Amino acid sequence: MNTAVSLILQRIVYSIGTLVLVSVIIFAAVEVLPGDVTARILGREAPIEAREKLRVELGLDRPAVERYFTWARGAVQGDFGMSLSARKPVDEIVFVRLRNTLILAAYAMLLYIPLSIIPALVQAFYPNRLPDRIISTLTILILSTPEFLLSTLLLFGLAVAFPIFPPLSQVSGAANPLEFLYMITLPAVSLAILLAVSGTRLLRESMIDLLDSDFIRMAELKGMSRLRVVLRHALPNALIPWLNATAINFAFMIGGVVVVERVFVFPGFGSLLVDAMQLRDVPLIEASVLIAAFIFIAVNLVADIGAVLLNPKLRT
Amino acid sequence: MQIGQGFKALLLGASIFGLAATEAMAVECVKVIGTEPGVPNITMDPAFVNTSDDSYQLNAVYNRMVNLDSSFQPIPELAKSWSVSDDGLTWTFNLEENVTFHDGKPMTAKDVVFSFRRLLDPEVGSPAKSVLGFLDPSGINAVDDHTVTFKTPTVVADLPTVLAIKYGMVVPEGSTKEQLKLHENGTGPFVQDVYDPTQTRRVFQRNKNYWRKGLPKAECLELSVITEDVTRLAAIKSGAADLVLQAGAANASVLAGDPTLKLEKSAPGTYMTLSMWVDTPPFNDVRVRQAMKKVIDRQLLVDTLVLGNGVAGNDNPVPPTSPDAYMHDIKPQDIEGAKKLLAEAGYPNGLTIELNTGEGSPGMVALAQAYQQMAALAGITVNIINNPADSYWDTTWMKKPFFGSNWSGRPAAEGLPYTFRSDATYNEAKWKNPDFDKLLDEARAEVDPAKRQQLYKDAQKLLSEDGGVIVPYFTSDVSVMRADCEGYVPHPQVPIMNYENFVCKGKEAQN
Repeated sequence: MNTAVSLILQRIVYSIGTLVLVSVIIFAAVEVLPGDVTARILGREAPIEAREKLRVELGLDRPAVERYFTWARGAVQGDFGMSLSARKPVDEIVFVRLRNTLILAAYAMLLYIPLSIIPALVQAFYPNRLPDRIISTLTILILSTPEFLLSTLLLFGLAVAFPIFPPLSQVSGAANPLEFLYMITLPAVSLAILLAVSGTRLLRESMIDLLDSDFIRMAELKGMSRLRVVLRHALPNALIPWLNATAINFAFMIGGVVVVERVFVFPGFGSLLVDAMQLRDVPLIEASVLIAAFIFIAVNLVADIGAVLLNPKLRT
Repeated sequence: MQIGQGFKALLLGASIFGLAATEAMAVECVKVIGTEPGVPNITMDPAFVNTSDDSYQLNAVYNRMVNLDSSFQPIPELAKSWSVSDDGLTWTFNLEENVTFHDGKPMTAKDVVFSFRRLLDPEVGSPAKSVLGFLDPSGINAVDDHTVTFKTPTVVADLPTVLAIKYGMVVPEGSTKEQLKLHENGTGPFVQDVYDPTQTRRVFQRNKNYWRKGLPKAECLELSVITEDVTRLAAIKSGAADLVLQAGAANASVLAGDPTLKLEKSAPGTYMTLSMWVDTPPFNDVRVRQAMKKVIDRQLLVDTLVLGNGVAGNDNPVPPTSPDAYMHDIKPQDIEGAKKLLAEAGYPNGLTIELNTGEGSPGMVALAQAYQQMAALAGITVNIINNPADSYWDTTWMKKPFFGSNWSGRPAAEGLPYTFRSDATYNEAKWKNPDFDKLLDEARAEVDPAKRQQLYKDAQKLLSEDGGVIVPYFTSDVSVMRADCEGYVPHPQVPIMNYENFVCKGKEAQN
């Protein structure tokens, strides 16, 4: 067990190092990127004097290294600074967006689980027969549909042609949690479908492999029903690779769903990052990227630790 | 693991909903959709208007002293009338009485003086200085509570027009930019209610003490920006939005057939340019510049690029439909003439040039591609360089010898000097013509309107024939509203919007 603890500690130290490295790289990248935050804030018609004035106000006249350390010192103490463009504390801005995104991701996950498992079960019951073929065709079709197109189709289908859900997910106007969820149903469904198809395909492959294995045949020979065999013996084993994929999908939903956010005007984390980048708003970019990096690292860390604890061979 | 995180997120979310629930939901708001996003860089301070997103909200909460009608003539707003002294140097503006700011304080001449001096104050650092720099702050004074005088160093015959710029809104005396960045205090028809610079959705309530009696007609106004075309379409078609401010030419024709919607077009104003540096070969030869202009089939560009929602242009900032235009006909395409000019200039076999563009504004790349095909007919090979959109205005615009740009419509008196005078900051073509400058100076000092108009026409002609900027067409803004709404007309100058009369059935002002 000692080796496991030291391994975990080691991983945590590495993770902190990674975060520091990410913060330096992002800062340097924005520094060398062409374009200037004062031009973004004041507009292209602003005279040079006005831009210089703003530059001094924002403290951008100081050397880059000094600015980085001022920022880093604050960040270590939990103060991520003020957004250059919104003139509000960065953590307030990021918190709201991250909260929105986490709720959307959780909602999408709830839909994702049945959407990916049930079709795979059907396929496992009827391998290479009509239901399997239909579902396989559908998953391939959706897998090759760009997210923008699928979101748009859902938008016009379920908000315009059959107006069941609102087209805009402007959650800041939601009066209560139920309305919030109602508003984000379309983006949640889009995300769930987009990610579920890969889960379905993965699960189908491992189920069909498993159903061919000796212990399943043994169970069938003992006279167990097909349903019981699939649910009790095949599914739990097949779920292991599916869980790994699901963890990665969840991390993806937090960092990279800008397209879906844009289509449904959802105030999420991804579009905040894109906006901050376009404005060259360094404190906002740093905070957003660090959080995205932290989530990826955390997901990986948990997966690594889990693997270590589950597999004695990896503990040395 | 993922379930644990999701559950925590739900709890977190639920704790915040308490706040959202306090928002007043009494009467439904008219829902207005903009196109150009600014979040999180939006401001409630008129001295720092930048994107259209800023203008969407500032026009709801502030008033200008003077505004412009759809043909760019000055019209009264907070100033109900004005006059100029016989020597043309002193302008007197008579202000509306009984106007109050949203905090209840009466609006007086002192506030107007403060607002304009503020735009010139280097400590404030407003971009407005690039337009109003000619004014002397000490020449702006309050005579009494409702009279303001502007004394100019030289005659500025179009001063009311110039003061109608997007920054020219009246704020209370003593306001600081720190206060105004997040909190308006204007005299306008709506009052800021739900607002956060990081949220595109904003809510404004009717100003119950608005000085224009009986206005605004709507009880409240909800404003947001949608960047995706398809989402704007879905929003207006489903009734989730009541008005789309700038729907775009292509969508206009899609929506025209929908009986649940109404379209309103503005007079043509916005224009794109292709600008050539006249100090750089081959554009230093006026024959090359003229050939570059002759290759264009201007009407074809209007018909294809903006699907007829606009008018062709004559290489100057005044639309040929305007009474101020030097010529109402459109320059025809003349390939043979272009070839002849090129041969005379020493390019009998044509020439190859680079055109820098990028989607700094939507449609700029399409214009470059259309130009490329037309120029090819006269043996001009145009190599298009497509630059990144997000840094276009910092790194490409005005930094390459041949590039694309776009401008909002402006009155001749402002538009001609703003980007074409020898000393203009945005002299895109580096065109320095003393005769042109002289015509503008004379026009600016000419108090007789007919003579002034003629001088501006002469200046346009010179610019059109000799200048380095191609203005192929002007675009009409198209706004779309639900059939049960009325009272909004888009303005040819993008930063001007008026929501006072806009209302939809069931969303009228309550008593």
